[in-house]
Amino acid sequence: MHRRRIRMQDGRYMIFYTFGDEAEAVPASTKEKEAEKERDV
Amino acid sequence: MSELRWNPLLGEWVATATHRQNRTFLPPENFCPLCPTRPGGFPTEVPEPTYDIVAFENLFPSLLPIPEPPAVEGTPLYPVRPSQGECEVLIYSPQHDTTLAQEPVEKIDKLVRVWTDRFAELGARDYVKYVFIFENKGEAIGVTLHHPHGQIYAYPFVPPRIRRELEESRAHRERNGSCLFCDILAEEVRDGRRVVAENDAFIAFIPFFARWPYETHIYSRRHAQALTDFTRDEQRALAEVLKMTLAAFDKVFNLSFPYMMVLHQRPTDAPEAYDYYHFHIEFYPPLRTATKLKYLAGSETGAGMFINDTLPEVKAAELRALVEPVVWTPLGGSV
Repeated sequence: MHRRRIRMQDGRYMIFYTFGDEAEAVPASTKEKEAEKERDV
Repeated sequence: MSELRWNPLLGEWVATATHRQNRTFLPPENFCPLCPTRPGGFPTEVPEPTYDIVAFENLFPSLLPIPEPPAVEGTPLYPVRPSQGECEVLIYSPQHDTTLAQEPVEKIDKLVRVWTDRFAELGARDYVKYVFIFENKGEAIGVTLHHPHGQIYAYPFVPPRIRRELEESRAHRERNGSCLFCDILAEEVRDGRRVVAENDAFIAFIPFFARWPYETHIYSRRHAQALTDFTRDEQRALAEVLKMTLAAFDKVFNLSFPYMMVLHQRPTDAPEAYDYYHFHIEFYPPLRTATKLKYLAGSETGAGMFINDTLPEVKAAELRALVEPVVWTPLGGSV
């Protein structure tokens, strides 16, 4: 499972989940650094 | 304007959220805010042409990570507090006219994994004590958007219904040395008449004490407290039992069955402190016939005592006869 996090113009976040190869699965997001995943739209 | 007001009669918080009066109400299909934004089309809340599953902060939240101060001043009798927390929307599919029941088991499996991720992330926030995942489906329940979606409320307190379950299960553990939910599960399996669907890891049944005609609960066979406790195989098994149950619901009256679906998990403030609790899902479908609703009237609302016009044993047999086995299709096709 993969996550892509964006920040909307009004400041709210949105997370797109995609699902590929099981071997690439990532753990729950608590260990992720949100800032690294964010981009502005 | 939003705040939490204390109800000293019931010992629980009530949220005021006046801005929610303005939320989108049953828009026409071509102006659905949860559909993807198609090239050249109406700009929806999701600024991309497609997606698989999306989670985002609710545009009309009743709880906020950084809330405004309360609009009124509290008193010793009437405490108030900022409505801190989080409200998310989870869109299950880019397709407007589908439902979770119609989706293949592979999609439900994906949703279970997203639920798990959201529980872990939101539960890790220091101001969150309880992560409540739910779905309101159907106009009979009062949905304002038909696009298939669920919601998550991350509360700054343990909500009263969960608190009561926690208290009862802790007292049961102290009295009997066993998990209340494991004991209910054993009783339902032993009796068998109220079982609806099952596999090696989960079982769906209409409990002995059901308040709604088709109230269905799904328990994990293993004593676990939250989605994050489940193995990958158990996640798939949960998706299977969900698919069997949801598909059976739609066959009862040959219509898209309305329901409230709620996930009951341990609080997130001190995970190790709730080992007496047990993960489960509860469905409250409001239909008692194809055209008649079960209303929460005087006794249910004013006294808290539900009157069920049906027998759980009869309704479970009805549902059980409609359950079909789930077939996984590796390429993600329908089952």
